[in-house]
Amino acid sequence: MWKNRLGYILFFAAVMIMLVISGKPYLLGVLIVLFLLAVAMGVFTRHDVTNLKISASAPSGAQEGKENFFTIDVFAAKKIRTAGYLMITVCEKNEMFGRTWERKLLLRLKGEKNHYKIPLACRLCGEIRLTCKEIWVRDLLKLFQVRANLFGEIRTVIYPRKVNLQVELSQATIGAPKSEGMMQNRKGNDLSEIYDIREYVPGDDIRSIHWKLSSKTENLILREASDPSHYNVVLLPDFGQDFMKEEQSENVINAAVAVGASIGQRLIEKRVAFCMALPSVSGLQICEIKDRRELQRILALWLACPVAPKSGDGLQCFMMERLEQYFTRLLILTAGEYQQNLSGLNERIGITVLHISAAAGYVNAESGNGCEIIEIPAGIDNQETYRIRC
Amino acid sequence: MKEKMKEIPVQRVESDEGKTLYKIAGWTAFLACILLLGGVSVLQKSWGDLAPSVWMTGGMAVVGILICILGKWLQRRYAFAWIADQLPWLILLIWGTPVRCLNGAKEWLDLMSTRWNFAHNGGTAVFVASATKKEILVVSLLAALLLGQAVFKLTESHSHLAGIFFCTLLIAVEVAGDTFDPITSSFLIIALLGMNMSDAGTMVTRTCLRWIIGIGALLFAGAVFIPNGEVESIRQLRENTKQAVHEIRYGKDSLPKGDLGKAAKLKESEAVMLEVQSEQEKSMYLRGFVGSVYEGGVWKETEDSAYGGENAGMLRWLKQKHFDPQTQVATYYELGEDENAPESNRVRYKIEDASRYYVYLPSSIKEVTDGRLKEKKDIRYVSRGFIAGKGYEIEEVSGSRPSELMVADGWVSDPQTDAQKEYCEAESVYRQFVYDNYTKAEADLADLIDEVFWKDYETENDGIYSALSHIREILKEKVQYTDAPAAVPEGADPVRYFLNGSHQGNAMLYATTAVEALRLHGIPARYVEGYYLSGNTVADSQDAPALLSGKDAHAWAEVYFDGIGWLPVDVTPGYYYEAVALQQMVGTPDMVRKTASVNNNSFEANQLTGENGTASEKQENFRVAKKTMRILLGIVAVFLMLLVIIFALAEAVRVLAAWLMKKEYDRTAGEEQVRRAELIIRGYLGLWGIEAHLGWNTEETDRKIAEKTGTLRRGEYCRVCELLEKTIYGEEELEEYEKRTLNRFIKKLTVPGEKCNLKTRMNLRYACFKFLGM
Repeated sequence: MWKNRLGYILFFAAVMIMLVISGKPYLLGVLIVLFLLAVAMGVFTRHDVTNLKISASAPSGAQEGKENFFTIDVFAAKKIRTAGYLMITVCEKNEMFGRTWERKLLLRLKGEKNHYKIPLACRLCGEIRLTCKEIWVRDLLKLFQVRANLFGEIRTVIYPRKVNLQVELSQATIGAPKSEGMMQNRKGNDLSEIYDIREYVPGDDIRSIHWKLSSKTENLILREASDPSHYNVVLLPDFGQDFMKEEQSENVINAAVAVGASIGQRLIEKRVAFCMALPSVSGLQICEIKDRRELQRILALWLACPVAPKSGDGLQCFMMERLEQYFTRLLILTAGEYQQNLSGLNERIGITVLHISAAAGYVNAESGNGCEIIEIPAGIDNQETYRIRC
Repeated sequence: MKEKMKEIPVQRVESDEGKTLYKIAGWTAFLACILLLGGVSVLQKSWGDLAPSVWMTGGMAVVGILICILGKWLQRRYAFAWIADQLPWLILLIWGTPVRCLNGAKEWLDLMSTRWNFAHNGGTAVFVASATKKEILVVSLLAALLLGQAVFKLTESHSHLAGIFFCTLLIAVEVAGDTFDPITSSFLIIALLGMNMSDAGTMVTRTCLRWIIGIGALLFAGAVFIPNGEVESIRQLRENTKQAVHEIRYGKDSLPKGDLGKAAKLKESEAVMLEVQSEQEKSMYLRGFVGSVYEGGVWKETEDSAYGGENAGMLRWLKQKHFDPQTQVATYYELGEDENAPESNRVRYKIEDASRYYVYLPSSIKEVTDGRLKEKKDIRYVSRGFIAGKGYEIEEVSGSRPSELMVADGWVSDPQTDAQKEYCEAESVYRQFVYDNYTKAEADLADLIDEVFWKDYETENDGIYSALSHIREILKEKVQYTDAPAAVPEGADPVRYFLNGSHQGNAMLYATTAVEALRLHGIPARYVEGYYLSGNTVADSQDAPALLSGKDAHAWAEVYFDGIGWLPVDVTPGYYYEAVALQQMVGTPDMVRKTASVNNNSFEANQLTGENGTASEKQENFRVAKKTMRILLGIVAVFLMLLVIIFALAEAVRVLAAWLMKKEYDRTAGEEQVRRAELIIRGYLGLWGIEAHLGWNTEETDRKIAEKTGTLRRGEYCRVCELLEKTIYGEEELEEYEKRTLNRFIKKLTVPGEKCNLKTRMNLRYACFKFLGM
């Protein structure tokens, strides 16, 4: 912008010099026109800014590696007189990886309604938060810029890509028997406890009608019975930010997330309810996943959680909270070097360590003492189907 | 882990419409057409009548564009395709040859300088070239090719600065060559605006088009309806600026400079104008302003155009022949073998209150022995440097007799030595120039002058002496001398009024009348103003410099004596000898007495500048010291004034900036306002020299703030941080009282404490400039 201003001033000065030398009245007219034009640009741009409404939106989710856009809509209530460009500074943050980058977008206004599609970086999965830092409206000659109102924060989730996995569940259990494990009444601990009441909808079982409550109100109220679920398997993502200092680490963690999501998918397809232990500030957050809908929800939650500070923290929390008593199988998802002492959990829970590594060229499985380590290469080949037994 | 990009490139995003290539190409082609139209028009006009066919020039420009397009297309496939751009140049240069191109270019420059001379009465001659039609054609085609390629590059890149430079250059060529055409300029300005309002590879928007059409219509209307000519106020401004610069360089004008309307001011001033120290006791006419053309009551110097055209290079040629019109008289004496030729005289000058624009030298100057002077054509000397010098020393050769008694020696008509022959050859050329330029009397006065002076004049034994004597007699009969002549009625010519109306005048009117009369009689003459140093004044001064005041200002005529040069002649009563006295002088040898300064061995040139201490030098030192003090005070005053102006401007802008900043702050709300407040707080703390980051070392920062500012207490910053974190991290809105706490904290931060140094105070005072861009 300084170039435009400098150019305008230089041209103005040159015309002034030529006017003084030659005294031509036409050049005086040109000088006046240039001056008034600059003033008009400044004044009308300010006016145009008050009429502009800028909004942004993004799809709720997209898949990693595929094209994704967020859109900016600029609408002017009245005719635009001199506003020509919008300079928008947007801050994109990947919540999972903690990466932040700023982007400056120069949008050209073509009329009263403008719609822009701006590509989003979908290289890494995770929740993307877009915050508008500043919006400047520039005039046609790019001499002046006026600040405009910011649009609100928008979020979108980049889901990991699909990995071809075949998950096999082992019949053997270590620690608690299969019939044991985490019994969670999703709707309360007591099996007979009513979790929720809601209005009767045609088609509901009339035996579930809460007659007492319904007599007190004008509508039929339904009671929803508890829905006990049985969870044996827990998936624990256990990679940390300390690993992200290394090269290619983001790709490895990305691959780990993709593997984790695919495992969850496969388990749900097999109608195996499982839990996911997500790292949080206060320790581990155990999320139950029973169906596809819940998987989507928990996946979105997982992608919005920042990666834990250190790898191994998840396992430490797991052991500290003695969560092994509730499950029969622990699936640990790791990335990069993973040197954790699993002996404490031996004989108490079956452990499968899914180790995503950039160095690995092919899938490698080792087992011993109830613990199985499966090494999966980070450069996941979509042509191959990986077999995981847990 | 966060990773911030250091450089944030700007990503251009177009609206979600399909790109229509043909529209973009169309717009670019339109801009190129307008630029080409303007450029070809400028080129054609600059050649004037010698311009080749417009189809050829325009066609070559189009070829230039096409070659660039072809080159670009080929470059995508072949690495060496850049040669395509240069091919037409090679062809033209081979066909035209570099020598022809050079001749053609010289011809173009000559045309431009000639037009400039005509427009501004200049006499600049750049080259003396005469190019053939083919040479002109080659250069024209080359220029057109360059124009075409430049237009292509400009419209392709939409480089704003390059476009401005290109258009300004073309308009400047028009102005310089006096071929300014408003319509051509309109084309160029519209093209420039079009390039500025659109971007490379994009279509222009409707809003842009509306503005371009509107401004284009305005410019074309102006081109058609605004009359040509010169804006009087601009011309006046130019004159006033020139005058102001002139006064800075040379001081105020002390002479009327040939304006007979200001004749009464000739001897107005009583201040000391010059200090002159001469080795000989004799009268000298110290030449200042020289007028060659009389028009409307004002004498003007010879125009530069008189030295151009046929006379271009004449002065240079004369110099090569060792002939200098300014030192011609001294050269004449040198080449003569007369035993009674006058001796060389050293004269020192110091300019006091007189204008330093003129160097007050006699017509008999031989050389400048001290002082940074240079010659201005054949009229006078000027001082070098932006601020003219005040002292100089010369050598001159002249006798004590009046000039009208001068008769050229025999060798002038019959040169004997090689030097004399060379002198005569050069003098004959210069004489022709003098007769061509200094014998034209003013047409309006010719009848009157002829009627008054030459109607009954007998031409027997006619010569300069007899003509001059006749003029003196007539003037004695018709008019009277007065120091302050009456004001001339408006519209009347001063000379006419002098001869027919008032019958009273001072030296200026006498000299003007004499010059016109001599010219009408066929004797080359010119009008001169300056100072008259009489022999008595020199004698009375003894060893001290003679002081010439405003009362010694004088005007006289200079007549060209064939073979000798320009010599002063006077017709003002009291300044010339009567005929009887002149006749007596003819019989006696020319004796010039020397002043005491010759025998004074301690006489040094730098005495005039007061470097050695003598009784008279103390006065000189005091004068110098006074002048120096005045200058220093003047500089200090100007500096103070500038400071005051800058301060007033800064305060005005500060108030405006503070108001704008407050307006911006109040316009925001919620989290945005709190974030803004956080930035402002951080900025102000930075000015205090405290590095602060939200949530980092809060206690330590709080302690530093309390220590440095003095206005804030311990704990205030911590409280403010809590509020900021509540909104920024906790995403909770602040209550009104919490907002007031924030604002109060910011306000206290802006107040400089007692411990503040000046730099911090200034920074805090003008901090709003920094925050305005946030």
